[in-house]
Amino acid sequence: MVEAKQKRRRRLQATKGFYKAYIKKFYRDAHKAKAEGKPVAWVASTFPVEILQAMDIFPVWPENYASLCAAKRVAVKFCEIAESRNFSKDLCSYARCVIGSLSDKENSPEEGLPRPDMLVASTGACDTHFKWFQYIGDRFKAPLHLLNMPYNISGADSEHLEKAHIEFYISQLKELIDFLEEKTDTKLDKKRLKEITALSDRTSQLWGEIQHYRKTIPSPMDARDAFSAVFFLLSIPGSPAAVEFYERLRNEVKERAENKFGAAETENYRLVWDNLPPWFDLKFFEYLNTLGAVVVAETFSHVWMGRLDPSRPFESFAKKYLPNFANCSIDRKIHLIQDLAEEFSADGVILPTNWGCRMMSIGETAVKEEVYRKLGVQSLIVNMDSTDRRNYDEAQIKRNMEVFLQVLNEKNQNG
Amino acid sequence: MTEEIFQQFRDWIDNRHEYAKEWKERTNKKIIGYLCTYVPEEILYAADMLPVRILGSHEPPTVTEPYIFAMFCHLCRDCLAQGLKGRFNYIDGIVEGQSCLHLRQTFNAWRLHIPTNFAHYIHIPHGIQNPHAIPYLAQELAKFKKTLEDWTGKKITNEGLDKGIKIMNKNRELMRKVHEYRKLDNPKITGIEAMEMVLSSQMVDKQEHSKLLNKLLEELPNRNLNRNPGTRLMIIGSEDDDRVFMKNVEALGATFVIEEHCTGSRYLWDDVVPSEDRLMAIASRYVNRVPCPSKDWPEFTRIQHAVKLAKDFNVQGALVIQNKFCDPHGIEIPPLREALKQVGVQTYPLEFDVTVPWGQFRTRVEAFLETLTGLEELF
Repeated sequence: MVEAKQKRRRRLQATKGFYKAYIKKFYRDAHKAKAEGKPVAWVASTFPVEILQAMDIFPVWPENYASLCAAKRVAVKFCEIAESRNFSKDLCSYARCVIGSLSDKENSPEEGLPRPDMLVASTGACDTHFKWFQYIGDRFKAPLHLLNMPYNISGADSEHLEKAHIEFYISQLKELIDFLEEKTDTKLDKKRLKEITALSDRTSQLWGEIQHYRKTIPSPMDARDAFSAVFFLLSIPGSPAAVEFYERLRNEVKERAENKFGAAETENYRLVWDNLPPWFDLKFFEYLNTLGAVVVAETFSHVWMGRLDPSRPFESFAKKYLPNFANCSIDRKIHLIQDLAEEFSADGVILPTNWGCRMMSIGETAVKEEVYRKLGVQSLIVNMDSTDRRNYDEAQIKRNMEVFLQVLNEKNQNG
Repeated sequence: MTEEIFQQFRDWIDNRHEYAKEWKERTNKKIIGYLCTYVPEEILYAADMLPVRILGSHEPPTVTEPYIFAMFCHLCRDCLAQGLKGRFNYIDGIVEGQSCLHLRQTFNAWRLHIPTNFAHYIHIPHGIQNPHAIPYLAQELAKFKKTLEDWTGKKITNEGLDKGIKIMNKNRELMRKVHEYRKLDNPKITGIEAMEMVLSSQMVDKQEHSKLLNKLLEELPNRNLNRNPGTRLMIIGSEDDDRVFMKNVEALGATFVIEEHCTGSRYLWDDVVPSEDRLMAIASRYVNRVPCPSKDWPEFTRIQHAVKLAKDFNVQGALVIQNKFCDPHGIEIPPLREALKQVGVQTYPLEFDVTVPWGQFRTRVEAFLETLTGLEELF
């Protein structure tokens, strides 16, 4: 049996105090914007947030807020409130958490989400998103606009997308801009959009470099830091703050990689993590470190990047968002995880089936089979929930991890 | 005669695979399986093929676990199970019209793991309230038409499309006429009979089905069910082909006078309005039809439609069904119940899974019916 040892992870300087320095500040800024009468939009993943940033619309992310509530251990209470109002216990746990939080301002971290002036999302993530946003919009009497995204069934990458799909996506962006201009009574400044697009591109580039350094053995950064730091890429990619933070993080990770200084004192097992993490228990990754295991790559860290050409922002957004794995068939997810396992020299892959997020949990068994078939790398499927702690059996998951690592250990010893 | 007609609907459902195999043998034509009612059957009829809907068998779908996790709706898992068990081994291809994440998994798993000659995914836009939806869908339908033509080597002509539109419109029109008899104080057909009529229409040649509907419409004016209709109920939800549940509830002293399901009125409520550009006409029908909640935003138009149905069919109470794990319907349940409450229709929620625990449900439905009867006596 692989046993836990008191060996500590070595937290990166750049991410120390991340919550206070960046998350709290983000929500403070959001409330300040609202108080000053600036437009606030609720937004969901796979949406080109750069356009909002270019129009000085403050983007707040209910998904991020749900993960924050989970980390603050209030998500279960909010989920229960939603359930008491006839929402199914099996509904997306992000949706339940945020819907419940609306009725319990007192216990909502960071004073809750500021009231939306509008809600925007795309059809590229999952069908729950737009129904959830529709419900919220109806409740606040705030307008809702959704981007129609053609489903990328072939899993084509940005260079092989159907021309008709790109054109349709661009037509949808134009409609979105009409909507935003009408609601805010301001015109999109194309020069400003180019600037924001350039910043977002730089953010993606830096994040890509950071991930690249994680291929080093031992890995200079693990999932605990990645799941915090990815915040900028997701929430405000087109901002100087994102670029500044990632430059600092990249420099530190690069230095560690060059000095072969690992994120954990011992790195016996390199793991790839699919799906979301248990947001209420990010220390789980520290526990893995005590077993000599380090998560060196997460699908979550690799699906939100996308290089952008500031001279052609609309086409760039199409190429960034249409191939997002959430908008593609299972083939894309399989190839992504195969590539990560190979490029990051992984010993194993962890495939959580997240009761709270159907979209992220699609096809884990197929992934497991295909990764093994191609690379001989084994995977572990674990049941969990990223937000609703009631669906998370900590002892069981830890036991499964220990046994899995033992299997990997035996495999390594037998060559 | 009427009883024989309903018996025929039942037989078609119970022996759907035998019917399809025999049809294929007899006609030497292709059969296409489809998952969601957003697939425009008009185009398949135009290509001289038989579209049949893939539905589950209500057996625990254990064989699907490697492909779709248990957190996806029972319909999508049960449909895939039918394919994995080889029960649809006679179909020549599978087509899906984009609706939800769940059926998309079924389609993808089917395409990857079950030998199929032809698999096509029609990108029905999610945003059907968007002004671009109709021309966009017309483009997608043109792609679908071309893919079929390339596969069969046969052109789909305008005459063919006219024929497809006519077959579909006629069948829907006749079923809507039958629905008129459900509005009567003493309905001429029960909810289970209506369900079997619609379900069978999704399984057999519509032309054959329509012939039977014509006969039924001749017979219905003189039909006397000789039963007290009891409480006038509505049932609302996503896909529902749970005949046992319908039958059992109606045996408790109630009649389902209308349903809002894609295996019920939602399937037949809207026709194609013929026009010179056939694909635009078909696209308009599928964009403007009573929507699945997965496509119904930003306005909740389906809820407004459900409220109208409740009024038109003089409904006393509604059972609101949540197919376990179906988020698009699930999120609409609180506003739907509120909207029905506003017009004086009491609702009761039930969660359906692959099998329904009738023992528990019976007590709950009985209690709901008593509440409704109590209200009746009170006023």
